[in-house]
Amino acid sequence: MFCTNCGKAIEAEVKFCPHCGAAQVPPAQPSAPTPSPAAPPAATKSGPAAMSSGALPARRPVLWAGAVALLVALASAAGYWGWSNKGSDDVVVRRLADEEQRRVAAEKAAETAEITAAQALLDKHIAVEEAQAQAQALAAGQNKGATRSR
Amino acid sequence: MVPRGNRNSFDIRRQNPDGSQIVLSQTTLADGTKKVTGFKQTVDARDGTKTRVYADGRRVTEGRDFEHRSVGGGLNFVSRHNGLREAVLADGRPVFQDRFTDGGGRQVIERTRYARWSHGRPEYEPQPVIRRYDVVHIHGAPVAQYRPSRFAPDDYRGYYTRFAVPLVVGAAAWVAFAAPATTYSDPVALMGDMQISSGFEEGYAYSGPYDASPVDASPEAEGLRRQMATVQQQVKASVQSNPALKNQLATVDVQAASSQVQQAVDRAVPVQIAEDIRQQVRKQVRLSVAMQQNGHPLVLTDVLASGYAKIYLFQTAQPLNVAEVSTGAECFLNTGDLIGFSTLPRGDSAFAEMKVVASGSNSCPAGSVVQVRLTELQEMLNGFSERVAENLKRVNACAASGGC
Repeated sequence: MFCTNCGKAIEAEVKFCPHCGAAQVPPAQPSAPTPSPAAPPAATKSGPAAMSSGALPARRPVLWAGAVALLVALASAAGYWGWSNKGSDDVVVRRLADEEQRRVAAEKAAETAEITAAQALLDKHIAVEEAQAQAQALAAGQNKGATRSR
Repeated sequence: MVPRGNRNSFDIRRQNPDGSQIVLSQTTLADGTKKVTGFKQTVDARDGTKTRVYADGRRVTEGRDFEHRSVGGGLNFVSRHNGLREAVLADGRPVFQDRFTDGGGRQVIERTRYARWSHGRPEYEPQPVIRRYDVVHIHGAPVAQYRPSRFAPDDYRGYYTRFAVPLVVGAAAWVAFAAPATTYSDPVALMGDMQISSGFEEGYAYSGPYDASPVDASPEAEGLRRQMATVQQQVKASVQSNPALKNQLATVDVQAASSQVQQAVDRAVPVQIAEDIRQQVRKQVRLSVAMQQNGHPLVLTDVLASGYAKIYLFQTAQPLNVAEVSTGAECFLNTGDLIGFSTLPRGDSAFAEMKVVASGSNSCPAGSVVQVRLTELQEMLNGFSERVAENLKRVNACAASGGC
């Protein structure tokens, strides 16, 4: 006879075509498991804070001495502004580096915890299966002993 | 010329007058070494069948309903999309062959194994070994699922009893354990190490020649390597005279094509196995033996739902060509290579991103992340269980003879 699906020659008694697997008599269909969804954890990151800048005072006409004094004052103010801002830059950089270090350490700790938990689950599964296997072996041994003593 | 990811990795594609295409890929590895691979692809206009011949002589054909992979020693693996598989030698003799059959009213796959690989050669069984597999579907794709064959309780006794006298085991040439052992008192430890070494032994045996001349010496492969070298010379000249292109690409290594391929074939270096990998495989072997004893199959869906999928290692059962996730470059996973989940697969995906944990010299490098079909992962679980069953017999024989 020939397969109703692929048309290849098959033996008369077979229930499934050996070439394409098509059922030759209507059988009960096997269940179709699909892998369970397992969503990977998503990581999020926050961005750094923005810096603000100050405004210079307006200039007005003054005497030479006053102008020089004003220029010296302005130069000092600008110098101080730059120096103090450099300090705050360093603080920000240090804070960001610390945050990054803490984040990496936390991620590493979470990863280690996840692996430890996974190892524990695997160990548990092994213990359950081995206990069952040993119980079976014991029962088989007892049956064998009973048969022998009879 | 197509850059991939960074300026150190790129593809060079050339269309031949006959319609075939040469694709040459250069990748810079983490240690700075450059790896050059290449293949020639032809497409059959009638049915869209794509055939790739690689510079090392391997060949992959992708048809509408099958994939055909031939590796090193002339062994050909065929995976059909209906779930059936087979492996045949270059001369047509089958190594194993699947067919659908009736398993008590249910459709099952029957795999007849005619030969197994031993010392680099196919060794035909006195009687073909027949195994039956359930047919399961993963995202609609049918795949065989190993149904454990039941052994007599006595067959497990050797495994659960420590050897009275430490068993002397010859050094495995295929693997290098961090803490190598030459004698074993614990059969569980021996089984674990045997699982790893027998896998790589088989993988290397498949890629090496067992009979005829090496496949990388075939006229087709040699011709391809010559053409690759010519293309590289032309590209190098173009890059030198074009500053924009020079900036875009790293220097093209003109020597790499032919010399690296030859090295890869010749260099069957032992695979380094870290102690944590060894211990993990040992645990998985323990689980597999107990499940075998209880008649429980090892199922991918169970592993994914178990909570330990993240640490579970899959052992490649049959050669596979896969794509690296970061670059899209193609590489091979060979029998014995160990991979683990890089990311657990989404519920709707038929693929998983897998990290290569330990691999042979002709395989995707350790550390790379590759995309693998879930059905192939189930085949790997089947192969793992079958290897455990085989090694259980070997360990019993070793214990009886006092050595391996």
